[in-house]
Amino acid sequence: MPGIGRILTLAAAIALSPGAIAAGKSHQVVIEGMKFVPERIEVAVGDSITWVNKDPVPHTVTNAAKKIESGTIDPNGKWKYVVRRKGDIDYVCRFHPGMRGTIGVK
Amino acid sequence: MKNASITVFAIAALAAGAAYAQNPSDPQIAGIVVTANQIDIDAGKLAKSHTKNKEVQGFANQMIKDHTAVNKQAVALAKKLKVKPAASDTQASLKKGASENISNLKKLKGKQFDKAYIDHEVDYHQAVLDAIDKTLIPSAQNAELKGLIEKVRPAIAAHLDHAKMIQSKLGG
Repeated sequence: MPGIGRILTLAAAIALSPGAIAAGKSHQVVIEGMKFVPERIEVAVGDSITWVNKDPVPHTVTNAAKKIESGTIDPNGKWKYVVRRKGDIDYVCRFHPGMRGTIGVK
Repeated sequence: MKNASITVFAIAALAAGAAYAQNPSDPQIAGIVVTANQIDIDAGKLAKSHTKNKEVQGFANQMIKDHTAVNKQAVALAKKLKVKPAASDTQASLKKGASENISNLKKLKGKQFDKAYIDHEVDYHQAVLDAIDKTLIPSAQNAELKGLIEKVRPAIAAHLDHAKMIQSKLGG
């Protein structure tokens, strides 16, 4: 019965996929009005954060000590980062002094 | 105080725009936006090649980068909306003030240059903010054009704060 075999394979794939694919949640930080919004975001190890630049000027997400560096995020550009360790990560925009954000990692 | 008088002229030029060029049309607003950005790119390029102060250098680089990015979007939007940037008295005054500022800066060196450049950047960004609030946003008819100017405003405010911070470090 190839039909049943196919269904079982599909069922197995569905059962396995949440563990295999959902390694972490996806979060978003919008860069708008020369601010990171939200300024502080709470995430868990394994989660990913995507910064979306809605400003008309380029920005970065940078923590030099922790070697986190997005490079230039152009207007309408995005940058994704997967969090690997617990603890707070403070970051800045390299181009604009005064632009700061924090990732709280549980 | 030649520099001071040029600065006052530049502010007067923008203020005159605010006071007399009542309700500039969208093509004129597009022309003013593109010119205002280009002026600061040109001043930034001059500063980049003249200054030895790292903070002034960083600021100049940021001005070139940010105002280039804004102009790219302004030109793209004007093209999309089929708005051809048009001349206006405000644009002409801005150009005149800018060329006087550049020729004044070219005569200066070292700390004198840094101070004159940053002082002017403080006054210029303040004048641009006033023009955005009093003339450009209230007059813009097209929602997307108005939206772009509103989006640009926080960047201009941040530039002003940055310039003021450097100004206080340079002293006097």
